[in-house]
Amino acid sequence: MNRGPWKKWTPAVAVSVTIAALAAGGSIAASARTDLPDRTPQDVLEMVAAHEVEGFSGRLAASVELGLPQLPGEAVRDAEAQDTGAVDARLAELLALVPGTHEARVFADGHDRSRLQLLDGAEEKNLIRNDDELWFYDSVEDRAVHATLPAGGAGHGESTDPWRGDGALPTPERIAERVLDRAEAHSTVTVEEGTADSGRDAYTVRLDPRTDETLVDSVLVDVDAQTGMPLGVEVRAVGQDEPAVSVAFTEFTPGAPDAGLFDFEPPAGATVEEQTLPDCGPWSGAAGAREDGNRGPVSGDRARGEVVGDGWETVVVMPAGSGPGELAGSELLNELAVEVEGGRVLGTPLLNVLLTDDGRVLAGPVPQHRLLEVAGAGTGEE
Amino acid sequence: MPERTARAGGMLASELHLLFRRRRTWALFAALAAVPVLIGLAVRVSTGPPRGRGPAFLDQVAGNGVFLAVVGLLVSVPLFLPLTVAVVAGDSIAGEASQGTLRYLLTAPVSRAGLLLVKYAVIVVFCAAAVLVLAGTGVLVGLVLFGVQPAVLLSGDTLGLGASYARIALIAAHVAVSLLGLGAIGLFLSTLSDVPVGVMAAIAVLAVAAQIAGSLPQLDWLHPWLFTEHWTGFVDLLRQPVLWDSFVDNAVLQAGYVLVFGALAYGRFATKDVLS
Repeated sequence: MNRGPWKKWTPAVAVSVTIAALAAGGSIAASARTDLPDRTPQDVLEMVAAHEVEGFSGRLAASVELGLPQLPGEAVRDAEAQDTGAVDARLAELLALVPGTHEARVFADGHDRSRLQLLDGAEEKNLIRNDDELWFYDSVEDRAVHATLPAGGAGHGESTDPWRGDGALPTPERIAERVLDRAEAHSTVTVEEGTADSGRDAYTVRLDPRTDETLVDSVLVDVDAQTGMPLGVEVRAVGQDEPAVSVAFTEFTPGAPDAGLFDFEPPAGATVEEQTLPDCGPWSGAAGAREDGNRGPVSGDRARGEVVGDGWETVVVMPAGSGPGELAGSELLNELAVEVEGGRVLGTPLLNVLLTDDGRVLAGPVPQHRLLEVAGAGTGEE
Repeated sequence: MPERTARAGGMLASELHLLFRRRRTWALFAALAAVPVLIGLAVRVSTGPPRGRGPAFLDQVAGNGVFLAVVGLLVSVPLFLPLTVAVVAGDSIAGEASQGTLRYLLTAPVSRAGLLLVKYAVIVVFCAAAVLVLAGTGVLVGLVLFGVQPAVLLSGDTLGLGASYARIALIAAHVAVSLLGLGAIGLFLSTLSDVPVGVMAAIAVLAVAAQIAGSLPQLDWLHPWLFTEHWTGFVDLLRQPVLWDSFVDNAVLQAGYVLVFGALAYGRFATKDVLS
């Protein structure tokens, strides 16, 4: 046989090798580091504090690995259908909603106009703010919720404004601002150069808690080298390889998006609900609770609870009979929680919750024994 | 080589003529056109499914005929369209070989690579025509049975009529592009055998198997490489603003399949002994 026939196969080999090389080369190029000017942690924190990104379009990926048992969707629907335990239903919904990976698109033009689109297969949930107009739209139920911000509250970024204050939009920006706010008081702060998930050059600020009495191993914040905008936040829990919580832009483009995006009209035929603030529709429950779980120790308002300890060791103690107390009767919670002396503990990699037998609820990003200590000390004083 | 190009062009024209003269081609088109007609009639005579049941957007058809084309495409993507492509692509070389006409084709002053390109171009034209028939019937039947209104996107935004049809054209383009990789695989498989029916079955089985593999979470490392991965990704074109990721990823993926299997088909066909 002459060599002729083999030459005919050359294109097939060449194309396959090229594609394999491109596939491999793509991942190498993505991890290539660029040379950024050296900055101290202090410089980077100041960059974040001073950053001004008026408008951007981006794609967010959020993943939560809390090590909770995965609840099938039917369990949620069963709980809803039975209507017996409203608490169970809400809890199940929350537990099904939070873990896993979520994708969203975010558009913002200044502080007063923003749009968040939660993507889930062929479904989409939209959250739109256009000055003092708030809209929520759910494509599955074809349902829209409308609310108007109180005059004066809009545009000033006061805490009455649910879109800024408590961050119904849990973007890396909001979370990072909270986390970095008092970072240096309780943590060792270091800075590395790197590339954010969105492929932009970034500084990675790493916070290592100075104490061992916490479940938080470290917190990493990617800060855009060009604009100072936080592009990603990752919280690692002690003894877990996967980040417990990670919120990051996978795409980020500075610049104001098309203004028409914020000008929402509910579609004809959709169910439209009017809501008055502060009970801001479907987000008041879910988003608020999600934030509490993710926020870590340096968060702000703990309206109803007493706070013990500070920094990464913070424990919140809710007296018996306050809001979450009713959780104690939840059957679902009973299944998830572990019996300990004096109560039951709901354990996650980042957050432990102790429901004492006398009805108090203690929560914090701390090991179980610390919660029990605080609980014990609390009863001693009374 | 303008002469050779002209000859290949002439061959393409005659092959296309052959494709659209065959009764089989029109039977395939008729079967595809029946999909939106049947769905439309079923929705028209019934009270419609409750929200959230059945294929996506089906519940919207009754209120707005614009969506009938989308539902028709969505329903046909997993099986009907791949089957028709399997028939045409599987027959392209193996059919000529089994009838003994391949020898005569090769006596034409066109290289084997040129002949393969012509055959693949015919497959591409068929893919586009099949999707056009399906989407066009959907649009017309929707218009007749339900009337049309501005379409509501997944994001809750309402589009004007022109923009709605532009989105449907985009979706049709996505579906047509989705079939190109399968067409190239079919062309390669068709060079391997002299039994067209066997090749058609193999292509159809591959399309279904790839979709099954794509639904198994254990194989998620493989998913980005499956040619069926973005087949139903066109729902992203119904968001506001358009989310181009699946469209672009799909186009790149299909281009990769076309290159690899085109080159494989050339390797096989150029070295093949054509005896009959």
